[in-house]
Amino acid sequence: MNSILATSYGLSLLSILRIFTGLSLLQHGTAKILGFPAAPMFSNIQITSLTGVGGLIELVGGILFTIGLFTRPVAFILSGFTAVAYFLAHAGKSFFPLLNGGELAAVYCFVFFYFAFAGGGPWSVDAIRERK
Amino acid sequence: MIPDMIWAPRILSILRIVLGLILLQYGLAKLFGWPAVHMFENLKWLSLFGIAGMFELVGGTLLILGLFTRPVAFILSGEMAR
Repeated sequence: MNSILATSYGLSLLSILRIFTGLSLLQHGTAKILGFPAAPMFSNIQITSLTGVGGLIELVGGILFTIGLFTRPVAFILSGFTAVAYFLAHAGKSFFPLLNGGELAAVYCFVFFYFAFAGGGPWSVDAIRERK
Repeated sequence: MIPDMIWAPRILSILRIVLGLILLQYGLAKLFGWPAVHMFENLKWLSLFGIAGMFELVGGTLLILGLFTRPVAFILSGEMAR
């Protein structure tokens, strides 16, 4: 099924997917905690509120996930975090992710769940640490 | 590590199926009006949205089944970027 070539490209693309996913999540954290990019919805957020704590998880988790440090445990936590986000913020509105606006949270959840098992791929701090 | 070799490919399949289902919703909503989305009412099949709907319907189905996964995924990746 897999040629060696396809497998090594696949692993590099796993890292690219990880970096892109991490950066996308990081935006939410920086918008909530650091106010950049400025989102009117997130101005005046208390750091100890539900949204603020969510922002902290997104900020720290987003950074660790992007650089690929402690990828598996971080991915596992973020998977649970995005699952909670889905059910808290979206699942009540409609059964269909298409209509309840939670499809991104759902996709995040399953992508993170996969990374919890697959690891961060070759382009990650984890991989550098293993090589030493 | 052995547990990885057992679970990572299986979770990858679950991820593929979930992504396929989510994409399929768009195809169904655009072409068949179910689930009903206000934005997609009175959509022509041969409009840009209608053709995108066909990609999503066929591509979503194939992705769920895991049939021709690699070329299908490549085409859908291109559709999303467009």
